[in-house]
Amino acid sequence: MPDRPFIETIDVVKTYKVGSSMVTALDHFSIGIEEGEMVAIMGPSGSGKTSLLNMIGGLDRPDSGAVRVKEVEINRLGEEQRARFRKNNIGFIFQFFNLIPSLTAIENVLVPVMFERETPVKRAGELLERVGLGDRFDHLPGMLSGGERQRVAIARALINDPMLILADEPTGNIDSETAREIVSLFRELNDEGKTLILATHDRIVAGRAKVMIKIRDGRMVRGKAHSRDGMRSLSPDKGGGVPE
Amino acid sequence: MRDRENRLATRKRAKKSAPWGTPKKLTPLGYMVREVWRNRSRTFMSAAGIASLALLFILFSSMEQGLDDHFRGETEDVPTEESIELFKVKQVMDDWVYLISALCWTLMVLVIVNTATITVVERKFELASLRALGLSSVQVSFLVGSSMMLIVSFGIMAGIIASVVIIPLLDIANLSLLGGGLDLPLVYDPISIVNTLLLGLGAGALGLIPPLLMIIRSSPMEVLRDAG
Ligand SMILES: Nc1ncnc2c1ncn2[C@@H]1O[C@H](COP(=O)(O)OP(=O)(O)OP(=O)(O)O)[C@@H](O)[C@H]1O
Ligand SMILES: [Mg+2]
Repeated sequence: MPDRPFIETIDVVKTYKVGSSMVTALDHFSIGIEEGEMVAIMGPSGSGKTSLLNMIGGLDRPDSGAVRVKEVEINRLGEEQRARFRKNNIGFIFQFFNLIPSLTAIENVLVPVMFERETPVKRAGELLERVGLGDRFDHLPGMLSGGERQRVAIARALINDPMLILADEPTGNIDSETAREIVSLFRELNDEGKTLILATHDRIVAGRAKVMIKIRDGRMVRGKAHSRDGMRSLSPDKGGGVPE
Repeated sequence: MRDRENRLATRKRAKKSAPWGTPKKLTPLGYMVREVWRNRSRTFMSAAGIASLALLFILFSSMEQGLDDHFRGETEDVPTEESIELFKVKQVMDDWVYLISALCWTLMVLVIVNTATITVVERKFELASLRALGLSSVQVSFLVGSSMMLIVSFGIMAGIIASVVIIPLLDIANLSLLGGGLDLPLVYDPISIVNTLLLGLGAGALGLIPPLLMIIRSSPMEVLRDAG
């Protein structure tokens, strides 16, 4: 198929069962994201941002619809295959950093590759230097500030040189000054050609992305949507979005 | 240049922060040992539990062996009163030894299930993060499983070492309490060491099944969400 976007979700539906009722997290959600883009996903709490990132990152599977990343239909892969896909292609950055408390900064950067025969210690060190933690190699996460922890997490996300970086509220737990630095780092990575998708509440963070997508109740309310008949600009009143 | 020196100096200072310094690499084994060390008080308790059960098991084996040996060499025509009493004990032991061994083993399995389950539940967030970062559930199970096996080995080793010291001492002290005033012979049978090792390995393997199933069944996403 010619010119399929780098990442696309087609008609993705995801519902969660809560007790006896169903919550729709993603409601026929379609989007196409080109390689090298930097996309901010905004929306109120519970609008489905995390669910969308989880789909793209292969952490979760849609009830229906398709998720394609780099021509791989990841919704068809099994759990283990998705794990491998994640490791090789996707860098994850989480709101709560998710560092391993018993491991030092540099060891945390090496976590995704610890089962590999060759440990790229040198690369891990370079990445830490790059995110400005050249003097924190041997610190445990408990000895680092929130911003420093997030930078360790960014270095970790880069260890396998992924083409896609997914960040779920990466600045949710750090002060705005540090957040600005983190976003600059994201911009730098994007300038180097990496595709970034960030879910965020922070307007300043979102403002520095190239594309902004707003979602509400699992539907896109503003942004560029993608459907089977190709790319088109989308506004809420033209279908596909939520009628307001 | 000066900048670089400064950085090196800071690096040196930073070294103090973690006792093991900058690692040459990160291996699953290294990570596992670190985790075991971090939870050392629980590691110690579980290992102590396993050690006491191993010791109990070896003690009973030695009692049985002692009685067996005692009666194998028996040539007296008129058995002494003590011999009759001992024979009674032996009969009871023969009936009970399997039950007691089985009980030791069951308790060992329970200690392992318990410790491993607590580990998995407590480290749920961490384990889910590992999987989100691309480790497979098999690799994560390996991490948890091998750290449990390390604890089991500690326990079994400690139990064996304790038995090597304690059983001869008990034999000298004549175990008069247990035998109801009788001089119960204890014979340390080296085979029981092998048996204990097998016992521990078996208990470890069985005890790990439920917690490892928990890991394999859980989705990395669900768990990440829980913690958030
Ligand atoms: N595992 C789950 N079980 C039940 N409901 C869920 C689950 N995951 C998500 N939901 C529901 O799906 C909807 C979308 O959730 P999601 O986490 O994607 O929103 P979000 O935009 O990331 O919100 P926030 O900004 O608070 O992080 C919410 O209504 C949420 O309650
Ligand atoms: Mg969220």
